[in-house]
Amino acid sequence: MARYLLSRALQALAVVFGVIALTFVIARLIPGDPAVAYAGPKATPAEIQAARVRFGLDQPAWRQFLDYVGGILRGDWGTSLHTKSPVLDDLLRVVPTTLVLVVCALVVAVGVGVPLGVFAARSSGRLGDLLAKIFSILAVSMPVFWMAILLQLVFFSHLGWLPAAGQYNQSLDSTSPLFTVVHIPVVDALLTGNWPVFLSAAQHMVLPVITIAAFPLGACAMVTRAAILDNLGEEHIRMVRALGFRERSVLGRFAMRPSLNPILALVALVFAYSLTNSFIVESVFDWPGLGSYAIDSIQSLDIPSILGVTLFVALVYVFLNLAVDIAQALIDPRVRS
Amino acid sequence: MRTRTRTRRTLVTALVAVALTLAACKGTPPKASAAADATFTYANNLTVMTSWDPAASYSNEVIAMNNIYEQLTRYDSTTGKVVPLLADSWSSSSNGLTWTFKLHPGVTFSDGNRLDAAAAKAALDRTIKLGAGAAYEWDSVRSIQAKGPTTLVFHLKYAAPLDLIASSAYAAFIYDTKAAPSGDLAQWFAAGHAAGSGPYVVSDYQKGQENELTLTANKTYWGGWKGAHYTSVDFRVVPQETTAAQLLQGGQVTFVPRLSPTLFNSLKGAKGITTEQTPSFQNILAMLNTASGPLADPRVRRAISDAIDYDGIATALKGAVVKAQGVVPKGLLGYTTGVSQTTDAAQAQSLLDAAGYGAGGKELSLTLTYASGTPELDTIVSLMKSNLAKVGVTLNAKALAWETQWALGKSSDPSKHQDIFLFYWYPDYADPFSWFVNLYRSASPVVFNLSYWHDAQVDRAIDGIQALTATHRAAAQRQYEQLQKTISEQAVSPVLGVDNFQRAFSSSVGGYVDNPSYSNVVFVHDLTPTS
Amino acid sequence: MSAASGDTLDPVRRSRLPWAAAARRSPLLTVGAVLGLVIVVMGLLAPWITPHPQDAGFATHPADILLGPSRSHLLGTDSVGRDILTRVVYGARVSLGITAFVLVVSAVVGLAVGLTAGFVGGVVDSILMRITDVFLAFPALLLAVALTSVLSPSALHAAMAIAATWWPWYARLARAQAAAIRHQGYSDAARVIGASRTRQVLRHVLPNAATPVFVQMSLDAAGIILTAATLSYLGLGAQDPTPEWGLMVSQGQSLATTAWWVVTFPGLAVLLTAVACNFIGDGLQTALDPKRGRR
Repeated sequence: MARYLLSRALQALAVVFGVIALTFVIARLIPGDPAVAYAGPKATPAEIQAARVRFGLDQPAWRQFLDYVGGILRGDWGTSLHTKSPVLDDLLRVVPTTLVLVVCALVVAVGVGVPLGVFAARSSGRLGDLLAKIFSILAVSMPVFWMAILLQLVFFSHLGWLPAAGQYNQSLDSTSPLFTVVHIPVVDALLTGNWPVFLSAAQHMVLPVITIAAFPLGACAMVTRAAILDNLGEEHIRMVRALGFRERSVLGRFAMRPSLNPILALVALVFAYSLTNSFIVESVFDWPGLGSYAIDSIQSLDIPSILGVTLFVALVYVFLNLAVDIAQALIDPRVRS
Repeated sequence: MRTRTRTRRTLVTALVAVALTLAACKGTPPKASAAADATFTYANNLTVMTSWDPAASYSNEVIAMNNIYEQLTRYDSTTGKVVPLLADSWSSSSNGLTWTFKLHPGVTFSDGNRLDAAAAKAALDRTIKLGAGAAYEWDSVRSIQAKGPTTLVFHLKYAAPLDLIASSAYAAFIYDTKAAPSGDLAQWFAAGHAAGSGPYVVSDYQKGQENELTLTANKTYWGGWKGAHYTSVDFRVVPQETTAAQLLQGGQVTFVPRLSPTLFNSLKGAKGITTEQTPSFQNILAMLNTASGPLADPRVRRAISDAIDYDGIATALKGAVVKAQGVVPKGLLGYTTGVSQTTDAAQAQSLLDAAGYGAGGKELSLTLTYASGTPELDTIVSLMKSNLAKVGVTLNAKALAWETQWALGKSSDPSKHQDIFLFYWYPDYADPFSWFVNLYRSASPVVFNLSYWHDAQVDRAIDGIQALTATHRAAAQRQYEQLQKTISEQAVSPVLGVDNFQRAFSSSVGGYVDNPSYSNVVFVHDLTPTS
Repeated sequence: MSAASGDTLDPVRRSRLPWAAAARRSPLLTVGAVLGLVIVVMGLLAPWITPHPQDAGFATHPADILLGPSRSHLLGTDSVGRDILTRVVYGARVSLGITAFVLVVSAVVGLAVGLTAGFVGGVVDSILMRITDVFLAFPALLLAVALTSVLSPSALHAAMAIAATWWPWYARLARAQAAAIRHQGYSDAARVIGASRTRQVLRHVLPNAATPVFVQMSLDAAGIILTAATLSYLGLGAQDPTPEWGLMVSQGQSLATTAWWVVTFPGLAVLLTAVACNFIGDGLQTALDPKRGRR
């Protein structure tokens, strides 16, 4: 067991190193001189040279790479060109706001997707299965940007049921002033018991959460169904069934448990995917998180920030996968072999 | 830039802090404001505060600055006259070289310091000395003299319309030069502070956030708070105009400065919303790179200018843009119908042939940059691509954040310069001088001369034109006409159109009057909130 | 997309089901195939079946902007007066072209890397697979964002960026195949009779790896179409006037409340194409792997 965990961790470490190396290579591909860009339009040759020394651009490539890796490990992810703040500070500021959306979306996705998959597996081969499959495929085939715009159009512009954008209705500030605790209005409102703001914030989250949840929901339903059917076909299930257990208890007791593994793996996988989907969702719904930050960076040609976001999401992916592997090894010893 | 956005706070430490915070602030709301207080929320599509120094401010922040700071005078666009603001009255000597302003007595800055002639002199002296942004407006001033507490005298090098200059939306603010506790005023401003005499003061600033800036009533404002007024002003960054319109309909924003024609038309007659269309002093220019690349050849520039379908642009933008006549918009000194741009694809083609880009010649591919988030420019760029494709020219357009577009345009490295720089220009005060001194006078380093145009004769004409304006308006008119003719002949910057501002605001706003010489500014204190 | 599928295909099963039998097993396969065929044929015949072919290029019509759906413009016109029906139909060419490019490039690269790793094994295998993991760790959209902000945005660069994030799936798949087959009898037999390694790969391993790769490709097509459209939507893919669906949605976004047709139809085209690909992929999988489908 320890041996497996160690080798898995070493592998992850190698991938982390590779991920950092790849962002370094991309950064090197940029045409033009970052020192000139940083020093600004009025810079003298001396100032440009100073910037070059400051960024270590006068060093050989391997040295620059070591400095780059060292910097990332120390928490120095470069300076954003458009906010002028350290990239890591920016990320730590915006990521929690995005996490609120993504975590809610994944809860919805698993909460609806797994039962849907179970339902499909139970009615395998019948109409219910087919409808569930069509629904799941529609969910994973949905272009996120389009879905976001259409939801806004229908539920705000036409029906007027839900707010269009932002985190909460700010005109509530005068009647129910919000204490800032973690700088995420919905969490702040919950923690301080500010119900009018919490209600407003929750309403503001409905459409973005649905949009982000679509893909993981469909994927979750399909994986759940497949995993259960795989297991239902296996010997021990047939035995249980032959012994006369009712369908429901076969599903609940025996088939579901080994199906948890693929679902767990899927959630880890779609987590990173949902982070990138938040790009579009946040820009459409004006949600000030990682996605809005990334879009601003793209439009400002702000390479340090773009690479910072890229690196961050890639690292999240690697660590989640590692965590899932470890969790699976703990749950199911067969995985280790 | 205030600590809020800078503080690195992980979720964990923040959660740990929750209990303490909750215990500490129970019962004492952070923003103690009564329900009856009216807030005016301005939805801007771009970041509002790009600079905090009232001496250097020359960008989007003008919409906030004009509610925090005041000038000596204000230009009233409806009457075309300069009216009193901090100065009650003024006069000039017959040769236009000495101007005397009488200040309103008893005015204080929001920090309590007195705004007297000495303070006004100190502010303008600093602005002139820094020479940043629109400070060029004061180039005619030799010295400023404070005579007693309320008399301010300007001695000029050459005659200039100083009452008009003093009304400028930029670089004419009177601010408290003694506001910084440390003495380093520039640094103090840069940290997000303000010290003006205007009706509002900064209460909250969150750099880079959607709710970027909140202003609150300056309780000691000399203009007073009698009657109904908005007591706070929020500036909210809403990049998508559709979102802005929806927020307006939902009552979450009060004022949306610019909407695209279709959206504007759809809001006409909407319940609780007032729409208004006002001709502006703002035009859309395509600055052609006269210094390097294919457009350094005047024949190619001419060809581009001839290929653009100006009527098509005005047609496609349905009332949001009208066709331009020269650089100076209608309603300002120098406007002329004598310079017009025509569309002539055949002539464009023959000019390109002559320059070696025609059939069988070199391929011509041009780069164009423009600010993202402006649907009007998206449409114009699509039309230009189509127009230029007809004469075999490929246009590579890039939508960038404005700061990035500008930084590349004024880069010290010419290889980063675009061939065509698309942007808007409007005057800093009700006079055409701003276009000429900024866009067409040679400059090193480049700031707004983004055609990189250099013509010594034009430079001389521009340098003399302000004096002419103060003393001999008819001659100034002729001079401006001549300049526009030269610029048009050389095809330095085709003018793609003049904007009509299509604004929408909540019907609860009473007393709104658009003032095109303060582009997009809402003087919130002048308004009356109704319900 | 790949997350949900293709991971448990039995590596050595070589199912060659007749189409009719496959279609019987999965009705969605038929629906998807018909829909996909319609989209492909529409794309191929675009110049002959669209009412205003010039609108797919540089043409603009300032007098006809933002007209609602009518008889002369069935799906309306956009902000510079172009016929949306024409552009949506032409858009099939762009999306399918990008998809084909990405699939071919990533399948070739993935197969080469995966087969090498699986067949050679040992240290080479470890190194190649770690490299694969690195690329796998980048969500497709993000690596594409990073790459296209370094290169200039265009449909080709977007396609290259997507391919860079897609090949690892094929490498993993091919490696699993190669490794499994390496331990199979026929490969050993070939070795005994002295066939060269290259020959073994070409004659035995590659054909065996091909079947699951094809299934994977049809499922991936949906993901590629969505990613490409998203990149264009962000301004990082095809540029105006290319009739790319994602780009068309972004051009219509600011007009959504007043001219709903500008955003709606191109987005619908993306959805339908992705659905067609997923139906086909899912159907093929069900047909080839009966355990997953009806029992």
